[in-house]
Amino acid sequence: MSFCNENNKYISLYIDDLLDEKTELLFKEHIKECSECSHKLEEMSLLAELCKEEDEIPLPEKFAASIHDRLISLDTNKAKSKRFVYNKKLIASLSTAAILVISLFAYNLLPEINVKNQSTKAAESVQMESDSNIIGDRASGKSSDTSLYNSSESATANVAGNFADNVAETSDKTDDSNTQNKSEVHVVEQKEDVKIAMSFSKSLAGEYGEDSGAAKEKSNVEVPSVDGQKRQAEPDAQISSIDNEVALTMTTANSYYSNSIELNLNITSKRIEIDVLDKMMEELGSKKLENSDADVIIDEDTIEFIDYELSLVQYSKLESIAAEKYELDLSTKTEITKTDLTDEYNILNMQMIEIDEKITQAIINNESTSELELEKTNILNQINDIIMKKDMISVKIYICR
Amino acid sequence: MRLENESSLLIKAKQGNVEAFEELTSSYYSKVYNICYKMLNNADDAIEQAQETFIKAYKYIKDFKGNCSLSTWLYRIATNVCLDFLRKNKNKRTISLEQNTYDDLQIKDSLVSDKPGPEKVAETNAQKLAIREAMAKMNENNRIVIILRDFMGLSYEEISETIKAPTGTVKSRISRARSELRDLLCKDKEHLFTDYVK
Repeated sequence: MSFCNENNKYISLYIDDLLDEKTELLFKEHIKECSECSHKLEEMSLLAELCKEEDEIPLPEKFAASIHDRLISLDTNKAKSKRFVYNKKLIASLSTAAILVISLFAYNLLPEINVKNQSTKAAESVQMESDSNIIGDRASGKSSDTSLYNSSESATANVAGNFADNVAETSDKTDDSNTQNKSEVHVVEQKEDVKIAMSFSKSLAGEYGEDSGAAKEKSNVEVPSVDGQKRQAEPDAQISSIDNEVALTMTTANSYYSNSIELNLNITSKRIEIDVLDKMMEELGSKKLENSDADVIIDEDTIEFIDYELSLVQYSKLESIAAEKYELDLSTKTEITKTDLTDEYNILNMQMIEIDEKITQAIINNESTSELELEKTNILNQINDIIMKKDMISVKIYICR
Repeated sequence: MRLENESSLLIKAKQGNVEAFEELTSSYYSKVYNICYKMLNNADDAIEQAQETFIKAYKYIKDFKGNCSLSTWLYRIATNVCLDFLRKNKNKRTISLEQNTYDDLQIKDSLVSDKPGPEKVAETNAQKLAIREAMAKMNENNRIVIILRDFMGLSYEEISETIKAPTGTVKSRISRARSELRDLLCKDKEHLFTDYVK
């Protein structure tokens, strides 16, 4: 039995009195002879003892009262919500109809677009889908205050279409254990979508311009409250008919995706725009990705595209900063694409469970776990990467001469 | 009688009775708060997440099947809430450590009893502060098992139920966590934690 190689394990079990009699005796003998293990035991025992002695931190005075108020408020809200229309299909249909009506309304009105930065992720995703069409028109030199953007209509329709698709998709889902849960979540999401669409169409309707500040503020005010609602609503939506374990492992996000978009950058023969682009992306705080395409020659004369990665918040500033500050001729090549990574995430989670079991088995068999731990760390890093991707967007900028 | 009372409280809490829920869970307020405080190292965040724990517990109690003890179930929610909070606030996390002012109490005690003198008290306080600083740097999954085992005194089985991992995994995680804590402290703060001379 090599105590030195796995002294952390033996010391920890010894501290907690979990070694069997025979192993404990051998370990005690080893401690007498090995100064390294002996010192480690002394230190780890002291730390465990200090932790045990630590006094409990007193509960803040108004803690219980505050919880009581929140529970009462929750209870009151629950009672109110029961009085509302409960038929989820009816709610889904009404929401879809509302979104379509608003979209048609917006289509027929002056689509003056000057979408500014939004503070929440929900608004940003809507904005990006519309902006991808707007950038194209800006590039042709139209004034931001008075011009009509033909693509805005399709952007609005796309937005409405996407929402409608989401509604249809969620209505079709029939997971027995989560049906009510998901429907309620999506009902809430649809209500939020309506609000987002409404704020978007209001800016299209020309309340911008002189009232741009008010409209912007309004939309900014609405969206944070929507987001606030969303955070509140999600737990509400997870009431009843949920397995204990499922409920507790479901947090605020159970779908994962990555975002990407392709843009065109028109450059002159002098190619200074590429340097300006780099400068702009640096100002935004984006990360330039290594070009892994072996066929692309990394040379300014023949460079075909450049990849960047930035957060959604950074991306929302791209359009205005490109046109106004850097005078770059950027246009949309393809719209924002969301790639679903949920399956990949779930596979990685399964791998985590499997590797945990392997680690357990290795410990039981007294085998080394270092390689398995490395593998586990690697899987964890991949999981974290997927989680982070939701807030990021990959931007591929094609150089057009 | 107490068990019967708990069981009837549980039935009422499952039906949404706020008073019954509070009576059932209020004895765990302090422990849950302590878990959150030690995980997040910040009183404001700890208050918010501890309250969030009980709000979630209230919403999900109708699904509590009694496969584990209520305390374990609450600790599990608290653990998940804290880990989620840390994950979401990874980039903006500012760790602000608050030092409890227990120095005075301890010194006072030592004057009237045979408890350790002021120097020993000061040393112990410094050690405890160093531990808290080190814990803030620890891997979050390691930090939680140290909290559950060494601070809260949960058994390996209880920890296994709390974090939903086999006992074998719990053993290895605790040993890794203690080793990480020891490495963080005993390499940089040898004067505090070791009294042998190299």
